Amino acid sequence: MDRTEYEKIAEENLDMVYRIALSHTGKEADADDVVQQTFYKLLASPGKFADEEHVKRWLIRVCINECNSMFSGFWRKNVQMFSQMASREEKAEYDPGQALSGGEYGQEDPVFAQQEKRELLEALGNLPPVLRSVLYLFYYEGYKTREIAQILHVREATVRTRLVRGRKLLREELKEA
Amino acid sequence: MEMKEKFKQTFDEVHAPEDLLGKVMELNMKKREYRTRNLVKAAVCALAITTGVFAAGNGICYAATGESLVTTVKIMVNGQQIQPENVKWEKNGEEYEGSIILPSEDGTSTGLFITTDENPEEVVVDIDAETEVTEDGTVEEVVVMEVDEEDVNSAKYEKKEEANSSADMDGTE
Repeated sequence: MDRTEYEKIAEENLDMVYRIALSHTGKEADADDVVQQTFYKLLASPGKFADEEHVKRWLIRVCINECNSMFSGFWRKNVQMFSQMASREEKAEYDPGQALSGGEYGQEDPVFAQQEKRELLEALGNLPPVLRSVLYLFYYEGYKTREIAQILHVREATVRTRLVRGRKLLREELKEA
Repeated sequence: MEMKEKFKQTFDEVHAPEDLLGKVMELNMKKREYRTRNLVKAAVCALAITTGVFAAGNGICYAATGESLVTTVKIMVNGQQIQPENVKWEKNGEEYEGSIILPSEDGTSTGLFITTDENPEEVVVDIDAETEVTEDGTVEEVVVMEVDEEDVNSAKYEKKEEANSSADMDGTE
């Protein structure tokens, strides 16, 4: 893959990959790592993509795999999500609102001063990872269940089940919040 | 608020930090650096492996036959070992390597060419200016010839070598 092509793909898809990574990891630093790892794999790949949609789906798949790899280790499995474990001070340090806005830690972000926007991310963070990606791809990226099944390499029925379950859990989480 | 709308409002505000974009772009450059570095590493490793295999093979060969794969060609002129410069030339479609002996102290200019096979044995050639050279079994061809002092210059010599070669092969002069 030549430099121009890579830079074009990176510019077009960076936000999307970052959103997926952040919704999975809940931490800006981890999302950074996942994004870099994903794009490094893009560089290492043969780079023969049919079209832009093909690249996008490939990046989504790789990003989710990277997120899963990150949490597959023993240490990560035993570390709870920031929303469950962090004290108020720690929470200020790893504020998802800051992360979402791309701002520096400790800086006030007017957008995520709105609690409801912060709540969704925190609620997503409390769901199992397999449900997060399905919800994100369905509600934000606008993929249909058949397309999500293709991207995630699972059956369509599985996607529908995850969607129903995820929606239910998410509503419960949002109510609790 | 509908779920879709909530997702849109939340994630529409999500943008990758600018420094992350910089890091991702830098990956391209880093990959090139890594590739160059890896090539150098691969070359060094290949050289080390080749050397190791050759050294091991040489040791095994020496243990089995009493002869090593590499032997030096030692050229003695009038009892003195010399380190002449290497000369390469082509004759009848074959490439030869040899050495030229620099003019001796008594003013006699002597050129000596030795071609060896791929596995040269140690050859000790003890010659006078015009005496015949003893030939080891592994030496394919030994030619003694006389050259003028100015012909020692390798560039000039290479040009003249072809013209002189037929006479040299016959052992004349």
